[in-house]
Amino acid sequence: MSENKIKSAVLEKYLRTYRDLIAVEENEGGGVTLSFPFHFASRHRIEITVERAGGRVIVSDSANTIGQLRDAGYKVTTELRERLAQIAKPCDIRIVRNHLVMESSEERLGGDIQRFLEAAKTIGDVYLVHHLRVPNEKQISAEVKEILQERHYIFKEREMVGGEIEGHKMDFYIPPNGTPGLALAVLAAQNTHNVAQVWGFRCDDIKRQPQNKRLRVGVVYDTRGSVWSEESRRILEMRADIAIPGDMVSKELVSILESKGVKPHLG
Amino acid sequence: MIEFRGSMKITSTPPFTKSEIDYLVKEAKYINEIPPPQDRVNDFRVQAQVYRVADKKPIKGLFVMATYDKPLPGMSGKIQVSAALDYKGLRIRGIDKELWHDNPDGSSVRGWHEHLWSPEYLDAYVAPFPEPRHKTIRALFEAGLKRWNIIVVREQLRLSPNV
Repeated sequence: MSENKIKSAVLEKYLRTYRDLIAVEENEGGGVTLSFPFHFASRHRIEITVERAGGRVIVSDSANTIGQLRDAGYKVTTELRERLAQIAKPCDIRIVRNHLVMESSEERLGGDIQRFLEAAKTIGDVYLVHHLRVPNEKQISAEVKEILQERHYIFKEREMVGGEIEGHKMDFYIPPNGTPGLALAVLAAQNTHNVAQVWGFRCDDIKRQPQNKRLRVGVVYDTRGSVWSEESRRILEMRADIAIPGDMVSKELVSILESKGVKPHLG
Repeated sequence: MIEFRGSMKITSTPPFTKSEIDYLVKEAKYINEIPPPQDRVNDFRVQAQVYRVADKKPIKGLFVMATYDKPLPGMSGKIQVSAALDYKGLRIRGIDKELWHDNPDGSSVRGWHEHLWSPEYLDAYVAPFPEPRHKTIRALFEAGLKRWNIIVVREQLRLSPNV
């Protein structure tokens, strides 16, 4: 087989397969929706809608990309929309309501659809690939619990601890019993700076309550699923008696508790 | 534990097991009422806290919701309405329509489907779901309630926009 024949055979096979992997549906009121064998990191296919409006052809994603982010747990805030708009702009894509929109024409449509697909995938994946939708709160709590049990600490879970102003629910509570006690919270979040500020206040509030004089206040913050800025970490470290990154729990929890005078009740 | 998402490998342990989620979906639950849709500028959302029938307490982090994305101005487009059961920020069940959905096991589903959460694939695995007769936000919300064993304690008059 000559080189040209191989080229056309390969190309023909690829194009036939690609065509078979595209689904098309006509929409009510004109226009078509196409589903392409292009997938977001969340495994969902990219679907686009093509519709004529006046002399123009409008390519849009029917709010699918932002919908993917929403399903992944993102809050679609003005800030997020602005960031998406910045990523989309170089590809001549605008964000209107929740839709990615590209203005095209009959002549440019084929190329524009390809550009739109690539842009939609990039825009979605910027967030979807790196976004851990699974907070590790439960895993860290289980780890803390196991350590406390192994070391024979007597503790309660999900206990309200009074502050000077209000009560705060803590994940673990070791009552003071001759030695200092502990109120410990496990923090896993996306909006980490706010969480740090809130827990900065809570730690202070608990410590200002005179009855809690012999109570150490601690936080374990998730570092696998949550990103904490230097400032956020500093808030936790300055306001809590104990602030441990989630991935250091197994190594550091016991020694830090002992250094703060929080000792097991038995053994 | 290694978690797969798309072509990416992410090292993380899921916060719950599949059986915990399946049990949560199957057990008897209720919401107090169907709230009116909230106009959130770019979409409409109906959302309600879910309670456990057994102890009449709210199940922390469990919300049932339906969303209707407003169409582009002046365009007909594709109807974009969906329902979801969210638990602690994760979509553990969802009902929506895609022309074609590729499942992680190689199978595919065309049209309306239900997303089923698992630790391995999160919400990427879907099973066919009967096409809802009405594609309004309320109809999808009610379809979700029925599917996920959630009853409504008191019905509310429908005074909200018919979206």
